[in-house]
Amino acid sequence: MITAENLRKIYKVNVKKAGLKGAFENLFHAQWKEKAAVDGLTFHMEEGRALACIGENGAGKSTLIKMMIGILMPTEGEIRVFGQNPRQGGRKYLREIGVVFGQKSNLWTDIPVIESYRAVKTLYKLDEASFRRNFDRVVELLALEELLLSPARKLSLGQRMRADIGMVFLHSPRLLFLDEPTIGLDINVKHTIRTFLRKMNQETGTGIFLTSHDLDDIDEICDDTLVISKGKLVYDGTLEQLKHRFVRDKMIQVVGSQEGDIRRLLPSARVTAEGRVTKIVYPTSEYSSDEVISAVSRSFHIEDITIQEPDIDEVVSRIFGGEGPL
Amino acid sequence: MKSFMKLTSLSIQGHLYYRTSFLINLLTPVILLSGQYLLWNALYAQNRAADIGGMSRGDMFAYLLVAFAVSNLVGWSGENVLAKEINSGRVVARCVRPAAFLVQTLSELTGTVLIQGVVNLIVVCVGFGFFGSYMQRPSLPEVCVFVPCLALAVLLRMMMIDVFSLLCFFTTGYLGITWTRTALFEFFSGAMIPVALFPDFLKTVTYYTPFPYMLQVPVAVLLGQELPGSPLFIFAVQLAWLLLFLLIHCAVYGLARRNMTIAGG
Repeated sequence: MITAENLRKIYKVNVKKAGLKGAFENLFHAQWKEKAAVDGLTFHMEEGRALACIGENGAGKSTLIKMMIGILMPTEGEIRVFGQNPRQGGRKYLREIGVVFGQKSNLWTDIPVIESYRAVKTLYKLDEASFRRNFDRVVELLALEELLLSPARKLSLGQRMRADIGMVFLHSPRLLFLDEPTIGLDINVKHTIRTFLRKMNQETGTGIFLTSHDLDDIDEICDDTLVISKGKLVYDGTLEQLKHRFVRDKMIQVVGSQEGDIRRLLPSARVTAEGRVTKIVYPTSEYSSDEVISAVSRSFHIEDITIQEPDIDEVVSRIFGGEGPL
Repeated sequence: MKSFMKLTSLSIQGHLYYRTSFLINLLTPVILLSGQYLLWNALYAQNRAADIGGMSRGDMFAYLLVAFAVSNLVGWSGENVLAKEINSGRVVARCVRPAAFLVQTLSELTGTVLIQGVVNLIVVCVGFGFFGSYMQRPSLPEVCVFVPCLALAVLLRMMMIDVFSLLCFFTTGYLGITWTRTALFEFFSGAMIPVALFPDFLKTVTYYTPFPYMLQVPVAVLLGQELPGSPLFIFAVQLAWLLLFLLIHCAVYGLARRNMTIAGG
């Protein structure tokens, strides 16, 4: 569905000197330097998958999306979506994709939301039946009924984003590009949007390419992950593999009375006890989960046991904290 | 065509949605017209001769009225929509809609023109009601030439707005571009001073630019004033300028697409 080969995007950046003298010098001698926003990315995304693109601010995520939707032209390399160059796909290509930018609305700002939706029907040449089917579905799942007669300008950020995401599904896109769709939203709206996106991905097979700083978005919506840093690809694989390859420790929490010496069975683990609750943090490089559970069952009369999954925040903070690349 | 009509309808709805803002946008130019009327009235009162630059008081007031109606068809707010979108990066929404970029711009401006056109027609009718005693009523042949000439003039002006707005892809100083366009249009189109009053050299230069064909020429057609050529010549010049603006649009938009950077993340 998406294939990128050695994709590069170089921007020419005007280097300004500081101070009053520098300001005058800049007027007469502009200095430029090249900055690679995307630097040699190669990846592939299958039809119907949900892929997350993670990266720090300025990593090149938005530039990558803009190249995939055909707005920006790569400086080098090649990108193909549905087997064609997005810049040459024209209106036919634009009718097959949907785009949502978290910081920029696609709605017409000064008219009621429902009029923007009707405009989509005309621009995308939708027949009444398919438009009505999609319209009813997004209105129900995103609770848009009360927003339809308000102009986008008067909506709160959360309402506006729900309306934006609803609009992008009206024409049944094969592939959806979402650039930080939950930025600045409260937890309830985030939950509504994540649930909706996951449902649409699973039920309609709409592919999703998502960028976000909110790692819960990625955890709840996506199957695969691209990690980019300073324009370069750091990781390309499943989210689960990413977690497991980067997580050095896991934790098991046991509720119950201790009957044996767990420290003797797991000498490299850190064990802390508070009342009847014992936390065991163990290095995954030394013990498998089976070994740890076996040791725990021999050392405790277990009333309850919890195995804590690795946290994606921890993974990403490790990658960008200098422990990458993989 | 359906897309064009739908987008025009959205533009009209957008302009009508906020009532106070709509009324202010409509009525502010009438104040400017009143100012122009008072200025020329004072000049005619001080002038011993009956006319200024060959234009009688009646000719001048008729010119001011019709020139105002044509000049004001595309209001300040409508003119700057695209420039502001490019400047803020919101233009990305326009770029991903499955409709030609130019169609989107023209339909938006058409919405503005249609609303303002109705209001301007009322202003002109009321103006003729007040000053009609010393104004010449246009003949049927003049009206028949005026209508297509005005349509081409409006389209030409929209294309100029589009091309100047596209320049905002290359600079953040969109206000500078907008003011340059406004200054050129106001002066060379005859919106401020009728081209008939220009010195011969300046008049010749002016007719080599597209601006008088956006305003002065259709107004002169309606009022039976001096023209740079026959109606066929005027239509040919307007069409030639339209073609040139279309080519410039394609070139500038193509260049912008190749070098586009969109503000923000």
